[in-house]
Amino acid sequence: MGSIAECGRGNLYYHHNIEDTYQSLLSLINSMRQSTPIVDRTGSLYAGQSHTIPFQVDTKTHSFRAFVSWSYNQFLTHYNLDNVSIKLYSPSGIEMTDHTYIYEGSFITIDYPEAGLWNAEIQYNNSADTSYVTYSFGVEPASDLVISVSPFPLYHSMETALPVGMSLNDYCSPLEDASVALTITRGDFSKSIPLSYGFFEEGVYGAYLYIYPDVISHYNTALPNTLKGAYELEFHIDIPSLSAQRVVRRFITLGAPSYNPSMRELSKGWNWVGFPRLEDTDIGTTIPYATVSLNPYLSQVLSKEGQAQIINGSGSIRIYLTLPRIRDINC
Amino acid sequence: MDSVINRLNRSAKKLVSYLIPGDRVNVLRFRTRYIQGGNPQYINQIAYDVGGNNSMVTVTSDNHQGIIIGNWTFTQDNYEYATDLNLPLVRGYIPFQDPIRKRGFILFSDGLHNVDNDPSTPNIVDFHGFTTIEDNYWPRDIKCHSIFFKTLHDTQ
Repeated sequence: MGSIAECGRGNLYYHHNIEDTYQSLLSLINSMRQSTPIVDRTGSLYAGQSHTIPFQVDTKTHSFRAFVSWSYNQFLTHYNLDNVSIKLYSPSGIEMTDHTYIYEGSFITIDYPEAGLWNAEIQYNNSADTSYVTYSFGVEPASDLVISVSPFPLYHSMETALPVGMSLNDYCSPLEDASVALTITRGDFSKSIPLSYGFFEEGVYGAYLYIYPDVISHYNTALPNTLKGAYELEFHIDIPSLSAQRVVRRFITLGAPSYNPSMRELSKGWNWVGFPRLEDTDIGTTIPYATVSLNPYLSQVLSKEGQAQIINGSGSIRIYLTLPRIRDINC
Repeated sequence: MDSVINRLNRSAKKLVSYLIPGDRVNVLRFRTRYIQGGNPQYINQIAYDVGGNNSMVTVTSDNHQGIIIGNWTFTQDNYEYATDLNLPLVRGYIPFQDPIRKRGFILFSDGLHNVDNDPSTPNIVDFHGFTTIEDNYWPRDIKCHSIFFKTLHDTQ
């Protein structure tokens, strides 16, 4: 399935159960519209419970639509008028409940919204249900902010660094003061990576995604309701100058390492040219794997004996090996 | 548990519920059936739940999605054999003519499709299988998005 989306230059989403596929629809449809939600999250509620979800509406927002969609179960009808409710509270405290019910969901549209911190309250009221209902909640703004994720492959080997980027523009002017972080998750694994401004070009925030040291220990661990190698990427965007927030969700499949780096045996030394990140260590100590791309710092590797494997892909070069005697440089 | 086709149907309806005025949509299902008799054969079938083979439906107002879902022409049918992925790609893009917005093809699937003319032995579509399809049929200006879920073939 990944290859279908890859060949079609589209996005790929994975869910263990068919019933959960709707949780990616907001992200996918907004991606097709080239818009970006303020909020895109899922949750679950037992009867009698409610969740309050704050979200920031900026001055650039002309209107927004707050949308909640819930999973089907025997206690919920498709057009439920009472069981799952949504209320919005404006920054000045005005309560808004004038929502439109739709198939297993409802929404509220606000034109010319008050800027500031809004709150959405989602409540599940069906006391007959002793289980819980899962929901997806999103806020879709009509805004002058133009946010787009730089293309990246849907499948990537975890042993090589992957450049990821996101451009932020206020209509056509690059935004320089944003804070952008990428969180990658699978099961109980989660790691956040800050994105730096000017990574590819002006207005683009980016970083190298390299999580090999973090995930290799449990990569092969079977986790419930997850697919091996399927990771969710979530970009969190905070723009203080506009009091704006956005979120973008994607999936990526990370492939297992093609070999074990520790198996590389070197009988003699190496000569490193233009590679500033390795440090001399005691004999027999394994040098940690580099966590940033070597490109363009690594120009060549010379060796009289032994072998090394250099992986060159997606704009980065990465080499993995264990050096038994770093002191043998220039031998 | 509800049938796979009913569960997929709900996901497709939810997709329509996410649309906004001005969006256009076409929903189609495809399947492969084995017809017994004097000349047994596999046949590919396609059914349009929303729109038709040459037309799409435009969402005209904030509550029009509900009307579209209410008019859903859904009939129960069974999951039998691996579907021929040529079918939705060849037929599905035709209604995209005269675009007014960004175009995309969203495929809900467990990934089991026939790429070797033997529907009784489904394969996970691999890169080479799909590139063959793509090279022959795929319109270059339409993105294909995939939402896939756990393989269900052996539980039917």
